[in-house]
Amino acid sequence: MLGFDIQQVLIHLLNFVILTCILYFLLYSPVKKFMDNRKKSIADKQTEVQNKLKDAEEIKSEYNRQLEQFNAEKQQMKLDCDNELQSYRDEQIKQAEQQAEKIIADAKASAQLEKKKIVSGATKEIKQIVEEATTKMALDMDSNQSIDEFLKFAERGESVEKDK
Amino acid sequence: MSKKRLVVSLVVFLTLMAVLIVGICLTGSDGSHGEINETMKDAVLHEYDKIDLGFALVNPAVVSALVVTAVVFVFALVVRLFVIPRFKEVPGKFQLLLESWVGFFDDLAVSNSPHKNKFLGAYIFGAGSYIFIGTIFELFGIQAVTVEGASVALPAPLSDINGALAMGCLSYLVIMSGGVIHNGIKGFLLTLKDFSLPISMSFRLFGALLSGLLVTELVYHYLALSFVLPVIVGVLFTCLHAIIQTYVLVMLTSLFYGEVSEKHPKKPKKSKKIVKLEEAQQ
Repeated sequence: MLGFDIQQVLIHLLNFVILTCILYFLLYSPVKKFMDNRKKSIADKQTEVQNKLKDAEEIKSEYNRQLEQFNAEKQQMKLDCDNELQSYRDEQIKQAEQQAEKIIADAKASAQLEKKKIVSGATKEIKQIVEEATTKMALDMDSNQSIDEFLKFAERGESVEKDK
Repeated sequence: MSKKRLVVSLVVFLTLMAVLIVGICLTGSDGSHGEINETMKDAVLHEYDKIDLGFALVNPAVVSALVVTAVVFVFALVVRLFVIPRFKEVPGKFQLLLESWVGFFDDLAVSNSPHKNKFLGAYIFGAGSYIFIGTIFELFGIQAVTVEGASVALPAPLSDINGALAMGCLSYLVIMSGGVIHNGIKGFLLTLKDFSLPISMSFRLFGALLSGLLVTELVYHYLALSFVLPVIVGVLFTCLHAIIQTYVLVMLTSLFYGEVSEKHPKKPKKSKKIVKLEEAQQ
């Protein structure tokens, strides 16, 4: 029927089994093994890259944390420096003001002393002039002349005091 | 292309065609190749064209099967020895072809039988390659001599009912073995449920390939049909048959294998109290 022959079926079966074995051992298995190895290698590389990426992220976050810490420290240091500078400046200004006050006070005292000295000097001179004039008037000149002389001496005494 | 060159090409082409037509007419046989009915009947039944293998008289398809196996063996051996050791991480064209070839059957096995697929992958790789290469083999028209001394072109191995039956039955046995190994008696019964499977698979292969063979025989029998038409009928149909039949058989085998070898979780046994409660509710 339809050329059916059990012997030929068995020959076909045997042939096909042999062919399948040949293909399995010579092609399918080695190629699949290569593909699996490559897949595994790629997966390993991917995992490695992921791990490295994770490490890099950790390092980056650590650096960011350190940077923030550094910035905070820098800010604090700047603040401390500003405060220190401000206090130093205030102290310097205070010292300068004190010095200025002292200088002014000294100058005032010195001026007062000088004034006293000048006034006492002038008083002595006036006394001397008055004595000289009185003496001269009394001894050498008449009264009108003596008065004129006295006035001249007095004017001269003023001009000398002004000059001094 | 210049006008002169076009004219020269046209003249050469027409001369070649004329020479071929004259040659075909002069070398024609005396019409002693028999009636088309007999040729087609023999293509189905193989009553006359037998080839002596030494220990048995066989159909030409058996010789085809042996030749295909020999060619594939040599090819696989050369590839294994000289190509596979030089495989690279980034594949070249031939490596890509081999990887796609193996990967296609492997993916098919994995997608249709995700739990157990190692053996299935190897089997459908062998079966698919055999069907595809065997069908394409028909195109080469390798000649063999029958016991009667006549020359016969070797057909596709599976265009013989014996080859198709062998393939169908073996595929069924593979499916059954998968069921028995992974599911025991349940897998065996599941496979028996589809008892028509080996017949349907065998005759599908046989019918598809035989129809191609018969149409080709019919076309080549008449001189008037021997121009241009064989390019479509002979080559295109054979290629389509090769692809379609390969895909159908490996797909069916892997689907049924996956179905019968799948492990089903056992249903928890109901206690007597629950059964009684259910009966009371009803």
